[in-house]
Amino acid sequence: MARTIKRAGQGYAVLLAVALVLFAAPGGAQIPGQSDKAKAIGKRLMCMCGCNQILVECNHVGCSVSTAMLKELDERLARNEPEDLLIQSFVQQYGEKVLAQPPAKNFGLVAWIMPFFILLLGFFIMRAVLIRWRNLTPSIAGVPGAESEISPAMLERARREMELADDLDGPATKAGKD
Amino acid sequence: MDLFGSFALLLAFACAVYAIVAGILAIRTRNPLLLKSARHAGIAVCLLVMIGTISLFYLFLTDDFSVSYVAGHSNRDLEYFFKIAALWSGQEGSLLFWTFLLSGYTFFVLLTNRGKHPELMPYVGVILASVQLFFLILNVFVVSPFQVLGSAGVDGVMRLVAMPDGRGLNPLLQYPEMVAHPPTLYMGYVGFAVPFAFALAALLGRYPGEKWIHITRKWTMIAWCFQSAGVLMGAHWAYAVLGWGGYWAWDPVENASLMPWLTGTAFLHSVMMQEKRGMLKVWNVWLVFSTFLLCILGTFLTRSGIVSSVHAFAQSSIGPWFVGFIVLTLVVCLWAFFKNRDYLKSDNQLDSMVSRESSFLFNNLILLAACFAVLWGTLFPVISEWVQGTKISVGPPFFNKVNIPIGLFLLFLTGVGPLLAWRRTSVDSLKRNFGWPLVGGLVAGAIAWPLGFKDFYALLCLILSVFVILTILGEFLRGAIVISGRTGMNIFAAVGQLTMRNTRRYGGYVVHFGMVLIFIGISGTAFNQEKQMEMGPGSRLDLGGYTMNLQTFTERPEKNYTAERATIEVLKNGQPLITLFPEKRFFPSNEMSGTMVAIYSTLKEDLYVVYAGRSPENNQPIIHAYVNPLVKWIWLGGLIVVLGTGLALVPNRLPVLALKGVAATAPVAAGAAPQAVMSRRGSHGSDD
Repeated sequence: MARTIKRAGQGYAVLLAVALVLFAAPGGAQIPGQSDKAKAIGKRLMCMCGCNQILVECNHVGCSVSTAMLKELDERLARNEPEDLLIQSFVQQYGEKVLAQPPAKNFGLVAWIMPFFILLLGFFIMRAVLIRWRNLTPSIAGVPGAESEISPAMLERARREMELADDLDGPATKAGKD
Repeated sequence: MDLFGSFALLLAFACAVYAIVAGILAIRTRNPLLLKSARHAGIAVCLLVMIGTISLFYLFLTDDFSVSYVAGHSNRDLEYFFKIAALWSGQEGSLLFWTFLLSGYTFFVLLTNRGKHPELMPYVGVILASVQLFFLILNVFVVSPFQVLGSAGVDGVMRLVAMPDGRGLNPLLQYPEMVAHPPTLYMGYVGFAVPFAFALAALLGRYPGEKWIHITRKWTMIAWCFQSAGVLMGAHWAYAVLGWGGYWAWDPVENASLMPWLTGTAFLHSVMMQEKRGMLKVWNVWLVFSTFLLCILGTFLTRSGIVSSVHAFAQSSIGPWFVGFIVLTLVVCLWAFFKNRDYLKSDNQLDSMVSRESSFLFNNLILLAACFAVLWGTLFPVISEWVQGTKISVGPPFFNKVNIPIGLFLLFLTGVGPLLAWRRTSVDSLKRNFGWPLVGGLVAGAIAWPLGFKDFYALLCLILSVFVILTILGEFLRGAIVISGRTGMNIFAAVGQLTMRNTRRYGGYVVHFGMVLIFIGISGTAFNQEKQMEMGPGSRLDLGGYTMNLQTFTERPEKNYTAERATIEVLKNGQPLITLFPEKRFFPSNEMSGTMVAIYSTLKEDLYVVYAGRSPENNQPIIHAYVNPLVKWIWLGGLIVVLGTGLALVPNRLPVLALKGVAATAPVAAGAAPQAVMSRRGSHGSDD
């Protein structure tokens, strides 16, 4: 425990350095082998016991469904069945719901497209809104004589001083006037 | 006591009805006595619900197994500690607990705003009482926790019976964190009812300006803080108890807690646009509405059985009630919006595309896209079954693939957003604020890559994390250097003073820092390692530089369960490190098993050891070991998020007037002047 606390203290003190060191820690390269292949395939399938968990992650004690599915997976791998064929056989047996993620075809494709479609749609709506707001903003150039009196350098200086005031005292806000 | 509790809830129901009727009449007639009466009825509801909840606690503590709920969720040998948690372990009790927390919030809202905001509070009282009424209907008429057990005698007459002992608490819930996790999460869910009530009240009452936002800012932050803590505590519980090696499985219950957090986070950011620039009034109102509705939707998803979940309540009859409540709430919100939308007219003007305003909009877009992705993935199995007749599962691979890019973009905005100036950001300012952080991030990436940091997303996460941390540090340093230059105090004291001058802004940065740590922790998943093997005494398992020797394997009876415990000596580089004791517990009261994972946790990585049961072939213990890098950073980040939110809630301590004098009359003894000129000011003083 003392060791952990000590490490935590060091971590706080040199956060960036620790982050780099930790990130640079050796990765968890998987040992090649049949069991790892079974695990990788098992992560693409769901346990059918109703737990809604990945096949290799079902943590139900004595779950007969996941045990049987994993056994079948091992047996098929031992027969050197191709991965795609193996997964297809599970789909035939249990239906598409055995797949851990929607297939990128037919209606399953909708699941993949929709979040990014919404994001893109939102982006375009937001862009249109921002352009509209900018067009509503009166320009300083429209004020007679303003351009000649306030130079860009002066505007930049005013902006910097406003930022400094923000840092020191916090900006004057509507809330502040409450 | 069960009758006492039932009667208290029935009275609370009646008082809630009265609070609504009297409140509406008071709004219409502006009768002050009626208004006062409605408020008192609202307070009475809170007290009566508290009595009902205490009654249920009493029944648990006294092992009254004549009450069905107590008999189903407790037993005599259950520790007192867990008898408290048993109250919210089932459908009926958790709904009562929900009402209890809502009543607590209502009580404080009514009390702290007594005599204030006379145009707003009657509406708030009615709205909160309406939400309470819905839950009281469930507590009293649909799923009462005070139902007693009965049995027909030989004469055919029903008689009350008491079971000699209860069925016990679900083993998964017999973990210390379960005493704190549900109340914390519920405090978040329920807390969003307060800003919802104020937003709807302001809309209904056409309350002028942004006042409702100022009133509810603290309430929103408190709810958000609880929600954040609750979500992370849930993740920690899943990590420590479920024994599958991870902390987030994108289970519908987890998703239900994440969605309102995402919209709540969006609201906390966009609300600044309204405060500063009078913009996004419609957006903010709908964000609050959405957050509250998502809280209710989440409750519906976890309790209706509509989606499969590893820890959802069993399918029950209360689903339609929640659907009805959601639809009714949505109709009221839409009606209020269309009736009074002209009141939400905003001063929408934008000087430049590169400004704080546009970054907040981006932030909102990304948060809502993430929320949609989570909602879509959660509901897609139901939608697919409805559309094509067959169900399509949506598991963690989908959520990870969709949400990781979105999350990384959000991380990028976490660094960029706060450093953009309001209205317009100049190119000079961009260079000044982002130049070095960007270089720092890229250098970190360049160092990490040859050291084996090859996973694309993890590398990007590292670069962005370093970038954001450096921008945050830069913000603190810039302000502290100015203060230090003016006052002569050392840089650390200057950082402290800078923070206390604008707690909301710098508390926000602390929250951002905490979020970065969470992202770093999550990125560690890319380097997880695991191994499972049957181990007899003396056998050895090697994983990620650790050597695990199984020393003994014992079975011992405890008060409430029998434990099968493995004693595993862990060595690192050949040196003894720690002894771990993973367990499997069997609870005879309900014939269920539970796992106690043994974790050796450091900042670098967790060694996570699970006793997964015995081999059916040779009865040997099966040990499943994981090395999960950086997990501790997630919990550490969560703690910093909570501390940062707490800091943002502290009222500002602003130097008033005298600072100019200090600057003019310098030099001043270091540290003396600032304290001399400090004066306390309300929390609305400033923000960012």
